[in-house]
Parts: sequence; structure tokens; C-alpha cells
Amino acid sequence: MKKDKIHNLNTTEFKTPSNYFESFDEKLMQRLNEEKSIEWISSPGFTVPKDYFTSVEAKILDTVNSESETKVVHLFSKKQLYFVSGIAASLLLMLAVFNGSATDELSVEMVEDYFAESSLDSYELAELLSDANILEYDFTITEINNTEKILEDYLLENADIEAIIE
Amino acid sequence: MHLLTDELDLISRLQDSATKETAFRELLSLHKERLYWHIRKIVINHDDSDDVLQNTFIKVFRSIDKFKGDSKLYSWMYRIATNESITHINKNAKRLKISNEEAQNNAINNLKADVYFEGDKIQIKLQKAIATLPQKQQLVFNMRYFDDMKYKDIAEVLETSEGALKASYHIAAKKIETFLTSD
Repeated sequence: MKKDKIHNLNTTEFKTPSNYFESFDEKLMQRLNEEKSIEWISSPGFTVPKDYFTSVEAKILDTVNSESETKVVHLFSKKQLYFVSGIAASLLLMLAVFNGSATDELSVEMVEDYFAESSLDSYELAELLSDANILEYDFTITEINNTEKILEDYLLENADIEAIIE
Repeated sequence: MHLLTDELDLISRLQDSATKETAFRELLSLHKERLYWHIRKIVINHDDSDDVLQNTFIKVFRSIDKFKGDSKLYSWMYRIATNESITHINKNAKRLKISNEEAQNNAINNLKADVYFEGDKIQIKLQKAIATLPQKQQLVFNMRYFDDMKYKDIAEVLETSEGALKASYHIAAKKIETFLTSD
């Protein structure tokens, strides 16, 4: 019998790893699981600690109860506070402008920094301006009586005498 | 906006200092779980969700007097919860000096070791897919897909039109499908 005749080669002699067919089902299911479409996923898989919803309710109630017991009475409401700080800032700005370098305590930069660093956003600032009804007029001095007297007082209080002597 | 009688009654009791506390307890037990799961899907981790849920209810308690009834009470609370969640993510990212996307990816990567996560690989992949979407699409997808919310209600929470939401959802679902079936 000639073994190399084609009609005698009735098997390919290919082999599979051991247990291939036994493990195939599981492997395929796993792959399907990984590639499954979005419709198969019904929950994101998050869980919570045991009795979480009961304990969180108690925690929230504790917080709000302690808040209502020790209710803080604000001297100013937020809006009033912005209003007052706005006026204060405007006055400081005016002082800075009219006193020039005579004061070491305040500069235009400081006021700018104040606005830049404060948490007021542009809407709050705009609201503040309309509330205070600030006009350009408020920043101009239209009439000063006793000019000489005021100037003299100003120089006496602020001028550096050594600089004048020089 | 038409509010149900029960809801109107609850709102008026919440706004009356004599009945506020009892009404607030009612509100808590009615909404805490839904709001928690909404928050959890945004911030991913349980401890962060716990913080945000508490902050949300405290904010609700403090500002209920200002609630005008322009929207449903629960939409208003969902809106507060959404904003609080996003603020929380932003704060965390700022504290760690990383971007919001990085913060979200870190949270997803930590899921494998999270004891309060029972999902498997596919759920983690889904979270990664959601994280690739722009923030608004993420919100729409979570609310529609997992919470099965009506477009009308989502529109109220996100203050946008139903048409825009539908388009957003379909784009989001398509992107996620592509992400899930890719390697």
C-alpha cells in the first residue's frame, strides 16, 4: 500500500492544543462580552456602602439643623456689602488720584489689584455700578471755595518740607 | 410651567419656616437616591459623590426660599447637583494641577481597585468612552441612557432645547458605540 497516494491522505494531521474545544466556548463568550454593544450594558456598575442612604440623610439633617440653630445674622447682605465696598473702593481711588504720590498707603495699582483679586465678576461689578448710580460727575470737583486755604493746609499736611527748601 | 399639586404643596411647606424641616426630610427621602446616582455618574468615585450630594442638599436647604417655581423642583435640584459635581471635578483638578479630563481619567482608572464598583471590563471601557465626550454630551448620555429621563426633563435640567439634546444624544451614543467596538 502506497501511503503517499492522495486517496490515502484522508487526514490533514493538524492538531489543536489540549482542551481547545472545551475552553473555546468560554473564550468566545468572554470576547462577545467585551465587544458587546452598548445596549447590553444596563448599569454603570457603581455601588454604595451598606446603609449609605440612611446615614447620609442623618448627616445632611445634622448640618442643616446646626445651621438653623446658630443662624448667623449678617450685618450687611452680600449686595449691600458689594455696594459699600464699591463706594469705599471709589473713595480710595479718588483719594489716590487727588493725593498722587503724597500717600504711601494707596496707589492706583492697589485699587486695581483690589478689583482683580476680589471675587467680584463683571456682572456683579456692573450691578454695583448701576445700584450706586455712579456718574462721571462724581469724580470731578466742580467748585472749591477757599482754594488758597485748602492748598496751604494740603501743603502743610503733605508736602515734604526738605524738598521745598531745596 | 405646570407644577403638580403635591409638588406645590411641598414647595410651600419648604418655604414656611414652621414646616421647613419636616418638608426637607420628605424631600431628602424622595430625591437623595436619584440625585446620588446622577452625581456618581459624573464624579465616578463614592467619597466624592457623598461630598457633592451633601453640598447639593445643603444648597437646596439654603436657597429653597428663592425657588420661584419656574421649573420643576426636581429639575432645579438636578441642576444644582450637576453644577456642584462639575465644580467638584474642577476643584479637584485645580488642586492636583491637572486638567479636568485627566482628573476624570484618573477616577476611571481607580475603578478597578474601587470596592464600590462591581462592574467588569466592559463597564470600565464604557466609562472611558463616556469620558471622551464633551461635558454636555456626557451629561445628556448619562441622563438619557442610564436614568431613562425624558428629553423634556433633561432639557429643563440643562436649560437647552429638546432638539439640540436629541442630536447630542445620538452623536454621543454613536461615538460610544464606536469606542466600545474598537480595540
